[in-house]
Amino acid sequence: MIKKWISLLLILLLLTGCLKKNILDDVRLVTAIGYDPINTEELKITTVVPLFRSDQSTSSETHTDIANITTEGNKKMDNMSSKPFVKGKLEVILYNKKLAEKGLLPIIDLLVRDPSIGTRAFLAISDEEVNQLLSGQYSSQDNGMYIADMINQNIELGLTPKMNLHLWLNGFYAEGSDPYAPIINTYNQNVKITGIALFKDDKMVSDLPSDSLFTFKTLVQPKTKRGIFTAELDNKEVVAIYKVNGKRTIKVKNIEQSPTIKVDIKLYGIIKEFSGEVVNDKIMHQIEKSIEDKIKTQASEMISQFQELNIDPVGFGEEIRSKSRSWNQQQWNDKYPDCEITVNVDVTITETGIVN
Amino acid sequence: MKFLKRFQKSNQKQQSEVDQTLPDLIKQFEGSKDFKQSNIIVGQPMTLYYFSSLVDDAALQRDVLPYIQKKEFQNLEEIKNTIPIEASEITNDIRTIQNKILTGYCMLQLKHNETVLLIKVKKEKSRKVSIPEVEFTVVGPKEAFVESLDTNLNLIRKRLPIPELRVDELTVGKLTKTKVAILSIEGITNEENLNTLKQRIEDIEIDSIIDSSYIVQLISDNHHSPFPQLVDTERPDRVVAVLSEGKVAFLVDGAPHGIIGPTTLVEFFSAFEDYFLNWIVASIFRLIRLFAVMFSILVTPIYVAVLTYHYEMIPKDLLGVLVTSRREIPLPPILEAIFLELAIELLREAGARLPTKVGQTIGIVGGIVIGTASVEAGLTSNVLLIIVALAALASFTTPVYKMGNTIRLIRFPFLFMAHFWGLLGVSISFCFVMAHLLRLTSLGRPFLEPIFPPRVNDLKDAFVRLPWSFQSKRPIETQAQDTIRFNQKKAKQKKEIDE
Amino acid sequence: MKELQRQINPKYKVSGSLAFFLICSIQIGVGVLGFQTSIVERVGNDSWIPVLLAGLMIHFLIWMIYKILKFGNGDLITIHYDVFGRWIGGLFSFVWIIYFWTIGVIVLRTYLQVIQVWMFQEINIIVVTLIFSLLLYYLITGGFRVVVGVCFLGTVIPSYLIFSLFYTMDYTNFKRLLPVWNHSTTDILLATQEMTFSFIGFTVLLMYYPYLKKANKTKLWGHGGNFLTLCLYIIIMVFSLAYYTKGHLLRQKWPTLTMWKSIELPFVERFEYIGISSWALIILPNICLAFWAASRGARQLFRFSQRKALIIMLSLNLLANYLIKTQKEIETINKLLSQFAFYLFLIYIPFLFIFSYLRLGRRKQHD
Repeated sequence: MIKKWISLLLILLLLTGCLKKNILDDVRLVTAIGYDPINTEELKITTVVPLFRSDQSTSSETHTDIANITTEGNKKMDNMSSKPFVKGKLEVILYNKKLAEKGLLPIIDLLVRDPSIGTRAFLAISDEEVNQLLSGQYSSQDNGMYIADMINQNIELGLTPKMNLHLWLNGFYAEGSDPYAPIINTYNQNVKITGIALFKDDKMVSDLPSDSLFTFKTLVQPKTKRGIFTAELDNKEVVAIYKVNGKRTIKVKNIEQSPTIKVDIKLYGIIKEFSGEVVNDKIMHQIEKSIEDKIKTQASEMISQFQELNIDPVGFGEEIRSKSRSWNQQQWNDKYPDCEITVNVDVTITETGIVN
Repeated sequence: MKFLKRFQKSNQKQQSEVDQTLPDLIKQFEGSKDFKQSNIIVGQPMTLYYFSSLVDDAALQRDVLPYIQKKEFQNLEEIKNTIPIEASEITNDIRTIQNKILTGYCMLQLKHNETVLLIKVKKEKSRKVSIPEVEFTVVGPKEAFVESLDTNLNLIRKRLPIPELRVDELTVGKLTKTKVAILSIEGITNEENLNTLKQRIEDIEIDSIIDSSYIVQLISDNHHSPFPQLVDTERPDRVVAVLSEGKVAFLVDGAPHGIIGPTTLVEFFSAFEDYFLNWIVASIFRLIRLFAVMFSILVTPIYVAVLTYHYEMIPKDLLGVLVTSRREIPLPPILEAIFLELAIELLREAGARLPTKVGQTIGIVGGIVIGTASVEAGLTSNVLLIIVALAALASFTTPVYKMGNTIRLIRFPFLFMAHFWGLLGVSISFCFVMAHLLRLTSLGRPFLEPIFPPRVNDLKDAFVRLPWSFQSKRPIETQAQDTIRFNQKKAKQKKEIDE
Repeated sequence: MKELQRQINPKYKVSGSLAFFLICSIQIGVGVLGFQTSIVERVGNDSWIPVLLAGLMIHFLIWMIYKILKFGNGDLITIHYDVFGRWIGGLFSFVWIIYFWTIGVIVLRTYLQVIQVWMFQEINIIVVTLIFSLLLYYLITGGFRVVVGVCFLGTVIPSYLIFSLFYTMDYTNFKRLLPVWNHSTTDILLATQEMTFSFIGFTVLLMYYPYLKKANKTKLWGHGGNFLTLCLYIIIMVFSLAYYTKGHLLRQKWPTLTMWKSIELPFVERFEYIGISSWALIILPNICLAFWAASRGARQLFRFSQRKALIIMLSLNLLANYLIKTQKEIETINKLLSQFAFYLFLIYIPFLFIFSYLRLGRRKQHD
């Protein structure tokens, strides 16, 4: 009896066991995908597929197509290729700046709906044509992996704020904050992060240059580590400090009516480089002071820029929402540009290296 | 019905045997060339009957013949008292006579009397006690069971010199009349376990028992399970150890193994050496062994599942290695895996069938040559070769041979399910194995204990082996009559500093 | 025709402490993957409060069920028989049997839906159901001891999944839970109603009570099991609230699964595939206990072989899984069942409590 059942079952299994297989070497793994606008209707889609060589090196292969939505593009590309394209290992999603200014939501939907795409993929904006950027040859890795590693390394080193697909969506859907994304461009046969794109909802509205990245990261993340900041002293000496630890706290007063916001930034750093000769207490004090001033001005300028554009990458709104009992997104949006926001910076140099 | 009829028939046959008379029996025996009879004419005419192949010639010449030829005897009683052999008896029961002659007794008949004297002059042909081969340990005793029941019993009795050690003897097998000795300790062993075992052995219907594994297969709770439900060991010390835990054991004449029950799944993964080593070392070894088992069962199926369906799960740094290793290979992962698994099974099987020295050579040559060649020919990927070889190695860490076989076997269903349904298939197969293990019992006691039913007390000697001071209670699994092994307080007593 | 079984042979009884696993294993099921959305929709950052309230309500109901069982000293079917008589009691019992069966069917179907969406779009539902049915038949025919074993192992083995939550800590921001209680009480109560569905299975206690050794002394274990479930649901809810912003979470059908997407370990990425596959082991006790209760109920009510009842139920399960095709249908049935279960909890159990007290409890006191 049991044997009969089992054999019947095995036959059934064999007959119906033809699930769609994605055997690793029979698919083309898309590691990066890029979008350029062509006209109002159509997009140019570029996908990067690594080609693994037997000597362990990798080069990339790009495929381009034109379609109005990505899936269609994918279908067209499948038609041309001997192996199907799969997006499960997607590492980087690149958008042309012009496209980002029009809004990302319509094209990001595919990435959110597809269960095979990971939420750790990096989302980035480029000023150049993405197709060109992705077609270059930069290292022994394929371009998708290369760009992903580059962004990741920047985040680890403390220059770029933490950002990926999940965080972007979190920011996009949040009531009291707005998302941002790194801007990458080619630079001397390499790819480099050249700034941060700021979004209002899903539309890119402005950007920050690369030299304000340190301040931006310190401002948007409650706790930061690593990253190098340079400042100039009054006597033209240049100093570089390495951030050991950074803390940002936001204090809000008078939440319900017209909130006033105080941002406290505390930095602990060590001196990496100093063009002057000896670091004594006086100079140490000067160094701390000049860094504090520089960060403070940068931060204040940044915040007033945010207020002007009515965007909130720092998440002041979230902070108020978590403290207020009568939170209303609409009201906050109206109030935000006129909010009084002050920045306070406190820098402590803990070490000066192995020489004085 | 058919079975019943056959049973009745065999009964009738036995009946007719009982009706045999002594001359009939002798006539039947005379058909064999090694059945000897010699007439002795000193006083009364006597005839001596024996099987030359069963009887020790020297003993016969030394201890029997000189005495019966010395003087004239009136009756058998007198002879019995003269002969310096204790094991002799006078009987007219035809069944006894038949059995004794067939087990190395010689029969002395006065005239043509129905009543005879049986004298034991058995030829003892048996291997010497040697070192254990399968369960070899570096430390600890190095005696292993041999094929003789008496020797085996001696090995156990000398380790347990207490009157409570009970040996029940049963005979199984219509043709082989194999003796089975059931060992238990009165006052410790649960009577129910003992009775279950006895009942099951008594109920065996079979003509011949060649080895103890026949009995193991016949009395297992689930005959169809690939999992062994009784441990067989060649170490008398292990048998003694489990007897003192309250388990039951039995020895079979002609088999160099002791069989232990009731047992649990984890017992199959505990080498006896674990008890000779320090508890920390032993525990870590045991955990490694358990990990090896899981690894051995799951790793190839997971490889197949991930490469066939879930490429997303592969870390990006590993991606290049896997893709390059597989780029030349025309086979899908399942065939690749089966090819290698079969190759390893072939090597193992060939190695097992050949003499040791040739077997080793085959293993090395086969392993290296086939492995390298198949990678070079592009039949398998080198990554999988490593995985399969490791999995095979891991399966050999199982201390009980029969369990090792099972583990290698159940890998294949996992492999197929992984091919059909990816990781879901693996977890469904796991559910089936779990269900099967939950249903299994050993001598009526749960097989998965102490995992289920959860028994904290028994966990002290399951995945890890805690120090002896923790082992003051017998495992609940055995339901021993006396649960206390020794006084824990005394064992745990600590010395005050500097006193 | 068999007898109505009132006493269970002690040989088949299981240790009372296992009530802990029996209660929590059936409460933790496929719901954990996506229970957040409907709660968060109503009460946002306060979502952990309804979870807590629902859990406490279940504690109260478990107390009530233990009382009913103490009065009746048997299982649900015998209590119905004693309290309402053969026909009305039988009718009530029949409804409960169908309820248990539906739990089994819907849990399996929802799990298969998750598989269809996340892993294998083309998987053949019939074949998978058949395999599961075979597994269930093998388990349930092993007797209650085996069913309990599955509940135990189905809770203990997959417990490693809880550690995965700590890997999401990179992205959690626990400030998102603030401010506490900024939603209206009505909303919170409505959300509590939704939440009770996640705790649904514990009513099976009404069926297996006679199988527990010293059944009336197992109360603490039963409550402990429910408490574990409660803690687990709260932990998962708190982590989801901290991991997502509200709007983002509402976009997710299975927030727990999407959370796993961001886990990256050195040897494996995309933890959700491991999660979904391991989930087979978590839902197995659910389905197993539900079908066991249904078949046991049928055996008691119609007095025929439990084996046959089980075969019929598993075949009907196969049919049901075949007929339910779209996601919408699954959602509708889930919704209907949750409403039914809510009324069952809130109206029928107190009702049975009062009646069994009047008919059985008082009589006992008189004696």
